[in-house]
Amino acid sequence: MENYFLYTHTHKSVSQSTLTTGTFRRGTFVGIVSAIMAETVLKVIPLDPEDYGTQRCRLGPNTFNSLGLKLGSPVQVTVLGGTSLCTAWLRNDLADGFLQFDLKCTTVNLIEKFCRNLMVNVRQLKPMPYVKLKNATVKVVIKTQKAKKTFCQTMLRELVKELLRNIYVCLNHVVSATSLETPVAFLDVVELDPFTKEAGLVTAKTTIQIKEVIVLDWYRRVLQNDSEIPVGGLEEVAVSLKEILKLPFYYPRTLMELGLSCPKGVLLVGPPGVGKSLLVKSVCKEVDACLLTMAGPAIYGSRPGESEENLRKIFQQAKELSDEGPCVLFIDEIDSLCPKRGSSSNAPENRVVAQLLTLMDGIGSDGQLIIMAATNRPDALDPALRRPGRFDREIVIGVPTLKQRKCILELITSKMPVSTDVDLHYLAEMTVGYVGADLTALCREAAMQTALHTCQGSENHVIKMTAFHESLKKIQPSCLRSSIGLTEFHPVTWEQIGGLEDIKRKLKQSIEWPMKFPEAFFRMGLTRPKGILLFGPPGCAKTTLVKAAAMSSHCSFLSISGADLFSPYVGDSEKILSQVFRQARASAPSILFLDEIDSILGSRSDNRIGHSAQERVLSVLLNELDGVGLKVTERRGTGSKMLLLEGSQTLLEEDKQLGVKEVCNKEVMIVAATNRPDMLDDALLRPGRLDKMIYVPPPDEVARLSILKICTKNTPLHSDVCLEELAEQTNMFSGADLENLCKEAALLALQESDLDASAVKHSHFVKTLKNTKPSLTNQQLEFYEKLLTKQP
Amino acid sequence: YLGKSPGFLTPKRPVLKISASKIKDSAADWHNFTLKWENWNESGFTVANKIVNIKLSRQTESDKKLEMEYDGVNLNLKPKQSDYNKELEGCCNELISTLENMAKLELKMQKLTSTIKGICDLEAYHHGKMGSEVPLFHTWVTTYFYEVSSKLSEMFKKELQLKQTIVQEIAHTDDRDLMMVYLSSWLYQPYIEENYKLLLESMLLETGHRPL
Amino acid sequence: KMSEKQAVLLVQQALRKCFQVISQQEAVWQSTLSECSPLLHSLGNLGEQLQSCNTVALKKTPLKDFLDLEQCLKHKLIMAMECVLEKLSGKMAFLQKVRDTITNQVATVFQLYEQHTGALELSTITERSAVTPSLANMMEWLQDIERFYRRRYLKRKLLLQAIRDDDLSYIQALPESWNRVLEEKKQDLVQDILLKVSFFMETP
Repeated sequence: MENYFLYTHTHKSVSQSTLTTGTFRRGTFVGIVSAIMAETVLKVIPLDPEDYGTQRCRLGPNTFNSLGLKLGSPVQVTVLGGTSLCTAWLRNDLADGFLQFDLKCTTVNLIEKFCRNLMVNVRQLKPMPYVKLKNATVKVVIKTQKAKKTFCQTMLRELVKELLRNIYVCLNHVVSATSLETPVAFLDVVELDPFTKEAGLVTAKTTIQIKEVIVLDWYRRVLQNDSEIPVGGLEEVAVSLKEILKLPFYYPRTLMELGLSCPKGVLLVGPPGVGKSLLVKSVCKEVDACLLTMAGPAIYGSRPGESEENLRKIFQQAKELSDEGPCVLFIDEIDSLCPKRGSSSNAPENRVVAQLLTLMDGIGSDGQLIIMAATNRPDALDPALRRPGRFDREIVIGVPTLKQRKCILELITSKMPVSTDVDLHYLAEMTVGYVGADLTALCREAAMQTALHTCQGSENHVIKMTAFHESLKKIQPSCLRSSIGLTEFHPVTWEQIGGLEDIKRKLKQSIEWPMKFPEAFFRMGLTRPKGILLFGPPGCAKTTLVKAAAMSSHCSFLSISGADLFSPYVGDSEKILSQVFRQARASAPSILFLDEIDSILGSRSDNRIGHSAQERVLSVLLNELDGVGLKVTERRGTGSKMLLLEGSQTLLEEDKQLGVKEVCNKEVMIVAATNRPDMLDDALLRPGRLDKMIYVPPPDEVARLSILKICTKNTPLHSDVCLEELAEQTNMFSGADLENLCKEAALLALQESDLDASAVKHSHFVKTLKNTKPSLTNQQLEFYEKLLTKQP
Repeated sequence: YLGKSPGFLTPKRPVLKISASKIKDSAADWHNFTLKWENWNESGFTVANKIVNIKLSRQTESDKKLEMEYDGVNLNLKPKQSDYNKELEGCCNELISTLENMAKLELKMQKLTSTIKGICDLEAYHHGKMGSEVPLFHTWVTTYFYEVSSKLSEMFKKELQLKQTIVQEIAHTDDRDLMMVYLSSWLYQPYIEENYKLLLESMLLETGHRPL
Repeated sequence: KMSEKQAVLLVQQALRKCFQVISQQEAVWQSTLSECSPLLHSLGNLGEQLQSCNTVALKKTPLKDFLDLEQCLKHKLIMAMECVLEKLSGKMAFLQKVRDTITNQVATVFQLYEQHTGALELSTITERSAVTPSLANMMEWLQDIERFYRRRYLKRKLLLQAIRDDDLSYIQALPESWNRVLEEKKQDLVQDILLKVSFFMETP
């Protein structure tokens, strides 16, 4: 109950005054007995059906009297941030403490609202003085376009006059006529004569002027657009989109005179969750255009021809709306609607594409209707859609940059109680590859965390940085959410890797630094390696090293190995590989890790049967490494280059190829690992591809010690255990071997003591060591050493 | 019905006396003929309507019959059908006789027109072109009576042709819409223009059958 | 200054008069409506005939020799339709008069109430007995009745206004739509209210 008493703190005086005036000489009312609260706070209950559209509000006698009302006199009800103008009547049962009111004449925000479970204070009711109106000017909201066309001016004025007859109106209130079966839905009162801020009564003598006739659909959409739509980090795209819309909407004639045809279609391209739909909504609101949204998949119907019919219907609706003013038809996920024809020999889908093309060609060039579409798979679209006269403008929205992420985070957290220790800049740095939707999810999760942890009693719901940290663990960027390339990301720090200090330094230099301090690299005239190949015997922490590098450079980390690529279908492996590269670019800066690259590719010189598939994979990989397979539309960046016009595309093609490589590949670091570098095709190792090779040797004695230390960190060791001695004795053991050794020793301890062991003794290690053989051999090492010396 | 030549106007010239009285009689004939026509038209419409209803009800009946046969119930509908045929035949005969009456009436109208033509010719013969331009009664010249009369005849002639077609065809179509067109054509007599009543009334006014 | 009792009597008198007028006018309304039914029927029928005219391809029927038949017949039918509509608008004028008479009567009562509202305590206007409903109730009913007539009139008027020569199916459906207004809920609202005040109207 308490929540309802928002207005109750000053009640006492009010309720007392109602008591004194509310005493009746012949007081036989039930209502008078009710509690003080019930007299000042009224429960809103639904209107009796007979009262719909009567403008009545029904009150108990006490309230009626305390407000000094007369039967049928106007009274204003303030509720839910709006007001409703009613006429005062008594409840038939004369019970106090209740309020029923009609929404015949209300402010815009109360239109078609349901007032349920509300408590209203008496002070929210106000008797309104009124004047008889000489004239009222209204905007007429008419139900259908057809009705608008068929109704002549005089007939409409007559109808409006009848609808307003005996109604009390207020300036900027809307009179609802929906309960009557007339073509008119609403009347927006825009002017009253004599001017009054109070109520005016429309009588037989009142003249009516119609300022404007609006179709209901249009009015609804404009109303919906009424609330502010906050958009973060998309300002630049929004500006260019606005420009595209503004010209045809507001200066169609100028465009025509200049011999330019108005653009009809705009294609928004960008990964999911980046804010395409939101952007359209916000821009439409800003240019005052009516937005009709349609989800691509929703068009499909089961009946043959139904999909086309649906499409035609929605275009018809859009056309009708555009008769009223600028209108945008937004087709979300257009790729689902218009896949490449032919490729799928799918007749129904082909028909839908054909229908859409016809409809788009059928749009007049008066510029009042613009079709927008969004997709995250532009190459899946039928190319015919992107020809001039159709979707000939394309706007690319990339994954937000650091600055944009910060912007978005600021926007999201502006409405959250965030603790002062929250460093948004740091969060923005941590969230590479996160799109707007991910960031929203991140903040929501943080809020959830806070709510869960503080629910016991604490009033102080402030979201702390720790909550964001927790949240970061749970919320993955959505472009990494597909199964391919996604790794379980247990954060690994450099410190968790024993030894290998030299290698670590090399990796830091070639991965972390260029990622973190590109300016410094550039300043010093350093070119960083395009790709890195780690090679060395198995089990020597190659993967872990790369993870640590990714972690410390705040990069997205995608990993793929031979098993991920295996598919029995022809061409699938290549597709998967391309997809991983695309994801890596989408979530740049990122590190793409090709584990066991030898198993991914094999070698061209290798003469095994069935190598043709591997050859294709190799050529895809080479292409991707060279940046050839890169789609211009995937590029992200800022400023004027983002707006790609059909015409300019061919002109700039050459420049772009160069520019694109420069822009994109520097943010994706390719790291490959193998223990059979001899198996690799030489082409892979040429400059500009995997041009930096780093040998990850088996751990030396120092390294082995630190590995052992790390591996036994959580194991209780007996004081007699000498790790130094073990390190000395484990020559040729790889990191994995050492980890295994520790595990085995612990198991042995448990076994010997019947699961009662409290610590692992040195003897356990010695015993285990006797039974374990190192996985590395001198032969192997020599092999690597040879390779290393062969290297230029 | 208007009586012929009741106490009428003193003609302006004695020679005109015969012509004027004949014209006046013709006007009264026109009035009576059209009234009769309207009566026949009405009764004819009733019959035509009946025919269409019989046909329509038989249509629905045969639909039902199809359904019944489908259900495997074999009902002998023949006697009933012959009833229908009999009724339909009766109606058709009735309609034909109505049409015959209307045809007779139309013939009379034609004769009436040629009579008026004769009077006009006579007038022209007696008085030459100039003389026939002197009004017999108030304002109309003699030829104008002929003009009006032939116009009226023409309407009814055309209308009769239409009705003949309707009578021939009305029982031989199953198209509901066409039946409807037959019926409304019969009732609303498309070839008889609305101004015919006006013409007739002004003729009656001119000849003194109606008070000025 | 007028006493409360006098004020009550005055308002009651006006109410009584008003209900009497309503009772008379309702009778006029009903009889006028019953005169409308056959007119609407023929209107719908004419619509059907015109529709058939449009549907049938006369060139393919035995009527093919009558070249101008379609045009002439349609002309006749439309003339007939206009004639019916004219009669209907005459009836509508009657209905409008009923509506306006009632509106004026009701307005008179409300004016009187407003004049004497100072003298009328809330307890007085809510007081009711077995034979006399409260003033508040009766005034509410008057408003209901007035709104009811206005609404019913408006609906019928809109029905007739929406007639277009080219929308024959609308015209064909018109008798039905017209009757639907008749069959709406609360059709007997006026009768019901008159019944509720019947004792009150009889008391002098």
